[in-house]
Amino acid sequence: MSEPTAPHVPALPAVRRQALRHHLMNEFERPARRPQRMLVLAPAAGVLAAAVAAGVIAQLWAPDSAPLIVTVEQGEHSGATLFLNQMAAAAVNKPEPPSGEGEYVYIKSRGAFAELGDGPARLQPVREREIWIPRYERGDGLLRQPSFDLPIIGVIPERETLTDMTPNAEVVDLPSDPDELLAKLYRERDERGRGNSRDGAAFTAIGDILRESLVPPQTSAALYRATAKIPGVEVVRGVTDAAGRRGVAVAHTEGNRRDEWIFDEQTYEYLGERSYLVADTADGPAGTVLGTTAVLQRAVVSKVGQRPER
Amino acid sequence: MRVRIRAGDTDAFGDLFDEHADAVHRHAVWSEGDPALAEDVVSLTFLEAWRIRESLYPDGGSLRPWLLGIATNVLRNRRRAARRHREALRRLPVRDTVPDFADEVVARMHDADQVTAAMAALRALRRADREVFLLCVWSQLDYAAAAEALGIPVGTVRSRLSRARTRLRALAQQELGRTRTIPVEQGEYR
Repeated sequence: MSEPTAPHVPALPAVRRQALRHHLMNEFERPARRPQRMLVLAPAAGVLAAAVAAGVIAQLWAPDSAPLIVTVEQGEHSGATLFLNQMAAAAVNKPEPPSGEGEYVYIKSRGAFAELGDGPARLQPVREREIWIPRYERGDGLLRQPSFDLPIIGVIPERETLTDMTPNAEVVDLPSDPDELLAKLYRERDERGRGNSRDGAAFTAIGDILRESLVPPQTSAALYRATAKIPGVEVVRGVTDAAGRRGVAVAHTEGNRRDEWIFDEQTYEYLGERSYLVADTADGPAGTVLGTTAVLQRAVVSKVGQRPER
Repeated sequence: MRVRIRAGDTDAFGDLFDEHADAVHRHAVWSEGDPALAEDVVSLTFLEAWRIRESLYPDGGSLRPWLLGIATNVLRNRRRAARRHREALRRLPVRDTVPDFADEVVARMHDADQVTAAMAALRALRRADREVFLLCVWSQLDYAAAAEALGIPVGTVRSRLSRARTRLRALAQQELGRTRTIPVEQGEYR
């Protein structure tokens, strides 16, 4: 025989096939967590200068050349509980987000992604991202970001309609009791039965909600109190977001990687995210930044594609 | 169909899955030789397809070349694809641990051996040649479709396929020669 004939391959069992199909369909209807590759935050030039001045950058970052490396600070656990409970207490006194006016939640952010896989992680340039999420009714949203070309994937369009998005109201429809909230997140993780540790999965789930949605004060408070109950959550001080704003980070370490949500120390406003390696790995030495973001604006607008007044 | 796919019509993606999931799965098993990994490749391929749907050309025929092209990319850099969709993969339901009927298990082991043997031959090829061989010969795409899947000119498909076949023939002959001339005394090749 001059060439091997195609070997017979056992078909996917029907049940498994259905399970994969069902999973895909759910993923397609999961806009809040859509193409969010890990947000890699590459500071813009001015930001970088500020960060260097602040002494947080051990090695200069330049596009396509070197990774961005930060100092891995010691986190503290007791401080985290205190900080999160202070945030929860303050959140309750904040005004409700505007009701009525506006059918879309608008969020503008900036971030940079590290491309992982071949040698040390390198940050790609900072990109701005604007997303319109239906506020009350399931429906189409919109994502705008600069068009860019990914090596294997091809061109990512500048405007991308996000179909059948879960509305903001549904994303933030959560128990107001922190224990119930956490139990719900653990339960959802157990049903999936794989991936992150339970605590890591709960931390990620809360991070997903905080990142791109408009959270009512009571729900924010519940989310912060629930986070305080997740074992291993720490607070890390003197952290900079992708817009160069300094804040306090609430952090969780899973394996070799630490994920942080950064908040303003006075106002407790959510500033952005950062994630980096805490140990030397094939993706780079400890401190290699895998992602950095900054939320620049959250608003309510009446039409998809419309930007707020200011 | 292409218009609906580009527009993110989930029903259209459901049809796409029904029609092509098995072809993608076979292609993944042939490449990986491991059914468990192949399942992840199926999921990643459709997740990638969803992600890049707007880059699909609105005109054209069957979507199989497009999907197999995406699958090939996923297979080339599975770690990267898995990272990109890590949240989605975490939500992937666990495989059933219900035991198979015994005879089915035997059949599968046999199949797995066969795949392993064929893969051993294919491993001797360069990756680029192997990809073309898998798409054209086993997945039965024509030259134009394979070219579309891989994003390379048709001429390149032809030359890679021809190189793959020459190499496989040589390997087969070597194999044949070896079995004939190996003496009973071990270790002496003539």
